[in-house]
Amino acid sequence: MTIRKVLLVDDEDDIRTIGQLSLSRVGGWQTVLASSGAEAVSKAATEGPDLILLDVMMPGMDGPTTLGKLRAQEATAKTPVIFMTAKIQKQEVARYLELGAVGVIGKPFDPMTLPAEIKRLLPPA
Amino acid sequence: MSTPSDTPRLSKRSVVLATGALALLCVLFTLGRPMPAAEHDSYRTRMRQLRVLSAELEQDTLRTHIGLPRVHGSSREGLAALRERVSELRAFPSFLSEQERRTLDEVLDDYLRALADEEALLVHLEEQRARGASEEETTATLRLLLDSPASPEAERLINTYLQLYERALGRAERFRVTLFAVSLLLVAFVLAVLMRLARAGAALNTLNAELERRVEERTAALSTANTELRESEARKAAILESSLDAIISLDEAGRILDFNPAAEHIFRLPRSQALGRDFLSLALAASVKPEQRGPLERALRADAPPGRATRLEVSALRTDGASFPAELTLLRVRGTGPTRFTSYVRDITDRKEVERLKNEFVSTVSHELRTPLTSIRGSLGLLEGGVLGELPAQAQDMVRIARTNTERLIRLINDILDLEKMEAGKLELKLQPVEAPEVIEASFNGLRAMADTARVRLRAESEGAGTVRADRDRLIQVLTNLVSNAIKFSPADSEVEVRAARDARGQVRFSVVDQGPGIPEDKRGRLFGKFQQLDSSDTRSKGGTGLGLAISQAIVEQHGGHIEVHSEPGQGATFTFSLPAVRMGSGTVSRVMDDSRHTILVVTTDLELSGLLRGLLTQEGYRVLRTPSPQEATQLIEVGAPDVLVMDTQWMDGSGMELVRRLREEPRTRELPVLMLAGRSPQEEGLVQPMLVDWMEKPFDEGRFLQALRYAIRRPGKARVLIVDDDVATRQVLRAQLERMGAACFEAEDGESAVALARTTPPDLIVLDVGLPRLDGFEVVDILRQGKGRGTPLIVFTGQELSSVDQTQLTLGLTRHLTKARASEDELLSSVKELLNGLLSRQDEGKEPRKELP
Repeated sequence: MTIRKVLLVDDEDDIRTIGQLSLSRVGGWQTVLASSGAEAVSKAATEGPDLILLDVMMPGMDGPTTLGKLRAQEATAKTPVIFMTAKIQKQEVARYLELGAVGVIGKPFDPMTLPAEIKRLLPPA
Repeated sequence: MSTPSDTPRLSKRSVVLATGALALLCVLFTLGRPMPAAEHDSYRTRMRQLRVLSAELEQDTLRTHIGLPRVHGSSREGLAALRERVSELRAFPSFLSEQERRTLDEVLDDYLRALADEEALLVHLEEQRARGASEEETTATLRLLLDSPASPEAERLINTYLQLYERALGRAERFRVTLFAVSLLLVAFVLAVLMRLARAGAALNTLNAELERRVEERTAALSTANTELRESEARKAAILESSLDAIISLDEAGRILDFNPAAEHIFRLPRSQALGRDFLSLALAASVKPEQRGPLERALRADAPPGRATRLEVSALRTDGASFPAELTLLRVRGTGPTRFTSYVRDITDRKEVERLKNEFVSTVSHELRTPLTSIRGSLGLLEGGVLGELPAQAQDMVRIARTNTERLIRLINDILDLEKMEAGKLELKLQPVEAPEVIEASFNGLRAMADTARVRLRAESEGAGTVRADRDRLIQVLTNLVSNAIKFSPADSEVEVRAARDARGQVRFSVVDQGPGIPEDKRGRLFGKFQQLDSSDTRSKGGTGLGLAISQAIVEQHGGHIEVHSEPGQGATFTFSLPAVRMGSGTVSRVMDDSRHTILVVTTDLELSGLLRGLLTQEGYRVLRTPSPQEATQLIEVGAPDVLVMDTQWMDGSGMELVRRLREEPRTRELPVLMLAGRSPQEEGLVQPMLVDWMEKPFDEGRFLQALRYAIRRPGKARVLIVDDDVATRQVLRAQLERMGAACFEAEDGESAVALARTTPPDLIVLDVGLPRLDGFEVVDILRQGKGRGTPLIVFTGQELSSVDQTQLTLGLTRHLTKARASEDELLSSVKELLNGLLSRQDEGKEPRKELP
């Protein structure tokens, strides 16, 4: 699939900044940012991104809950979601995949290779 | 020190002999008296008288002839007197021998004959005188008489006697000398015996003294021992009194014999009330599971091996009803007396709390550390990558240094988390058959860049090592750790070799061999500790976290192995560990790989549900086809021939029901089981039950869903149980019991036929022995797990004791592990009932829904 626009969801300002730089400068994608699950659900509906990068541990609505909401709304029901997490245990990865994520990226990530890793996780166009 | 066997022995015989010798001496002295001289004198005198008388007779005869008067009476009287004397002389002296007496006798006879001649001549002479014969006639007769007188014969008699006497005297002398010699010998013997007697007495005295000394010593030692015993008892009592652990003595029936103050405190029970009570029923909480209770009950049996402690963490019970985590140790006391047990109970509430807090702390800190590290790592990466414009060379260097050190910090945190997880026992291994050469190659792949930089060659020697049972990712982690260590400590242009070989015990032995400086012996012991690099500068110079070996050790131990290191300083080091091999009869595992899958078609518009079902079903070993549209489902049923259709009707506005109706009309799909997931009950959906195999309302329970799926797939009929055991008697007994319960049984006597049967006729339950010919229980489970047998309920019924790792490996669907000797018949049958869950009573119902179509 072709990516043009990516929604990056993380409660940490710094990580959003770095992520945005990586996705836009290295990946060459248009990047939209959200700092919470709720903001992500609404921005996803309005912006219509091709991919959502979703942090797992967030105050309020956490990643999995956010994914549920995204799946529940018509516009984002099929948008591929990749989780980003500092906890990267095998069982957890399996659980996220069961929830319907297309993949999991561990933190800390290398901003220079992040876009390549995302492409690897997505099904071929 | 002399012992009784060294002292001269005085036998009864030598005493008897000595006594005999003394008696003999007395006899000899009696015999050895001097020759009887008086007897000799009187005999000699009588002989001399005989000679004198004989000479006088001849003198008188001569006097008469020349006309002188006779001096000694008539010749007739003289002759008679001589004859009398001769007969007297025939009484010989006693010292003459028989032979000598005969000689003397003969001489006497000669004398008598001479005397008789003399008498005859005397008679003739008197006759001549009486007739007045001439002078010449009488002189001739007289001359005859004087020519052969008797007296010289008497002289010869005396001489003969004296000769004989001399001889007897000599003989007596010789006898006395002999006697003297014999007496001397006897005296010597008696003296010797007496001396021995004296020495024996002395030895006896020494022995007695020694004995007394020893008795004294022993008495002293005993008294010291008593004192020491009392002191030791006092020390032990002090330990018992002051111990923070409950120390409890138990009798052979597990009743409390002794209860120390800590036990009183821990169980909130005074000693007086505790004595005599059954320990396990007093101490264990009701929540303690049978698998924990079992080992404790076994440890309390009279035939438990003494000195081997059984240690468990259990939930223990105070008499006030509160339960607490406890570490309980039970062991049978060594000794010959009645069976006794000792139990130590430690209240580990605090430790558990500390553990929990530590885990929480580590987990939180790790997460809190990673978040800022993500920012740092990210910023540095962008700077270094030139995303924000090229940096001056020096700045580029600084950023690279900052970035590599950040990465080291991240590795450190990852390692700490890993280790934490392993130590808390939270590391779950996904055990599977893993090819040894393949994992070695995989670990090399990640390390080639590092090896090239260090100019170290990597070499693998793993031909014939085959397959091990391991968690692949974790095994690669261990090998990577060991090989990267080896590279770090190898000189340039040297070689690091990884060998894998099968050993005699059916294990695969991995060795990582380097040609580095080696490891001094005194440092090998702490090699596997945390942060234990051999010298503190290593961490920085070699870029490790100091946790790699500790993690590797933990992983290998979790697999039931152990890492060892062998090294000669200057000769490199070899790290080795062994893992259980997957046994292969000429590659049976690959030959009997089971890639059969049941295909499940999931029809739902709910993406979340679709993802969830895919994860769940894939993990359970099903192949999953997914589609949101009933139209596409129809095509997929044509092409993919699914075994079950799972349909979610929630957002389907009736098109789902329509699909089911169409399927039931087609002969080819009439029998296809359909499992309906819905937000409402069938009645609310307006559906007739017999159209479906099962119906579930969302949210549904995963376990019930999987079971429903298994029932939907299974062929209708009685509950099918596959009995796998190489012992025909066991199979027959099990078959009889299970058939009585209403199950249909089929049997396999080895692993291969079990796998084949399970594939052709999927059973509802497998009862599996472990020790089997061809493929063993482990291999059967491994193979079935790869295919559609994955979710089959399993009862592992074996005589072997299974470790927890074994139990984890021997698991399919719902699984129970029973030990042949210990599990009762009831336990087995109730497990069968439980795992067949309703199938026994349902029997043939499974077939009905598909017959009664609307």
